[in-house]
Amino acid sequence: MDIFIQQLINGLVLGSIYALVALGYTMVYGILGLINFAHGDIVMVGALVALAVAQALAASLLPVPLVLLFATLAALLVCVALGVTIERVAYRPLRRAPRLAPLITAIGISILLQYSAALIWGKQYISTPDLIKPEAFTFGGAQFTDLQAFIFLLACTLMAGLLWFIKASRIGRAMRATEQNAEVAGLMGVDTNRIISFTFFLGSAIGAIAGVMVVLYYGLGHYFMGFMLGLKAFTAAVLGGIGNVAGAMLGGLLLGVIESLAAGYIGDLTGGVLGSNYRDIFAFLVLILVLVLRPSGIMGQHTSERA
Amino acid sequence: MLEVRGLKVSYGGINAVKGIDLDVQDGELVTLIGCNGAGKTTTLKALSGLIKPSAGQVRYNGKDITAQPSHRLVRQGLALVPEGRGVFGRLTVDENLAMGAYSRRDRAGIAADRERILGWFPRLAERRAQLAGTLSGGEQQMLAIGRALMSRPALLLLDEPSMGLAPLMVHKIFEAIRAVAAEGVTLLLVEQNAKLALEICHRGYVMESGVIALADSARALLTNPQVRQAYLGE
Repeated sequence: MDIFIQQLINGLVLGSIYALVALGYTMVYGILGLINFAHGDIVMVGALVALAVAQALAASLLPVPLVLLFATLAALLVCVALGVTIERVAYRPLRRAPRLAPLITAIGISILLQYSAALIWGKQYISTPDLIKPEAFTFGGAQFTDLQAFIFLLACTLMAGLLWFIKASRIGRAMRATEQNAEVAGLMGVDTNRIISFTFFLGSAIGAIAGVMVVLYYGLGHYFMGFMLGLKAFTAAVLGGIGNVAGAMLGGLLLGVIESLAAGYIGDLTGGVLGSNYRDIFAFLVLILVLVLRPSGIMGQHTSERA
Repeated sequence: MLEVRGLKVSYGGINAVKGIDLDVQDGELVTLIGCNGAGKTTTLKALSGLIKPSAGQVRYNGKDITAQPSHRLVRQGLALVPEGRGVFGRLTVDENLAMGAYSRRDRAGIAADRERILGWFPRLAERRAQLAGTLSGGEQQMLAIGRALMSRPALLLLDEPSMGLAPLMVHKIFEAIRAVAAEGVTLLLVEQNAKLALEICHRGYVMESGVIALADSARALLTNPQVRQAYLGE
């Protein structure tokens, strides 16, 4: 039972990060029908920028919260600029091209970002400077840290804010309208190109914060970290129903919990043959199962191919 | 108000509109009638910025608006109710109307217009919180017209508002169109139901395979033997 609660807590924290990254995939898919495979690497860039800024400022006498704030702001700025630029330069010219063209472009951008990061920051693991020392609390025989609580609560606040924004704001409504019928949205006076830019802006900003969370949580950054994170977040988006914002949130949390619980029990279940380092299997097991059993995901509409 | 000169549109290798001239005066109700595939919808799409004409000029209030994107035209008072309605199915009736007012910022005016438009269409008022996709075809057409009116257009282009609707509903839609015109909105109406269209409009153009075959007052067209035979089913 202790393992269960412990892994549930760990899973929710991890899942809230997956959910934030999954939002970037699902929002872009919703509006363009494109899987932006570069999104995981945008998150990676955010993480490494935050790390670099934190390292540069660690020696200064600035208070820790300020260092973290500056690091996060730098990550936000770089990620947003990257996301919007990539859409403008790489995807927009292919708007009317067959679907495969932007998809392959996205993979190309992903590789470009990875090796650019490797050039700038090297291929070794980069560790976070010792800025924070998480304090542990006990709950029902399980432990959690204030850092975990902070990540989870911040992620939930961001998600609630995003849901409200899409539901109630003028731009959020225009995003939904553009997603349903871009041509008619244009007739209403919506500059759909700007809405698409804004979608990349929003996804990249949320991704940047997720990137900062990852380096705070694991204390490590690496030029290839966006690959696995991106694939898992993509899986979370598919699990929730790709294109569905609330679905991405649910899918992220669920995937985090499934992965953590499975990692917690895999040793017992296989008689010690497989250890928790095999945890990555589960995300992809989930992906395969969803694609086979319910390709539209938990909250996805059963729509035919979009017009 | 609207002057079209030598408008040509082609897409996919087909010349759908082969150089037409067309005028709509301020306050007028003008209809464009013709068979399926005559180029009526293509003409409206070109006028409202949805497709780029290959040649010709469109002037609106004296300004050249040829090939301006639709999101700019609606800000200048030119709105289109597209063929097939194009309501946002997963938005509520209220949200659809709010989208119609996207180009406006005057909250009080928008709210007043919404109530006025819902007053015209009581069926919509009863269903304001419902998703537009759950409405009947006729209700969706009312919503599409109401939504376009939310932008306070000076010139409203209507593409086949009676398409696929039951006779009773067609009657209601045309009543609404008449009410809109009475408010001073200038209308350019594309219709396959030529009789209905000519009965409410001042002037009409008859389009045949991409060109204007006839242009006259609606009354004259209604009594024109050629038109009666080809479009009024006599």
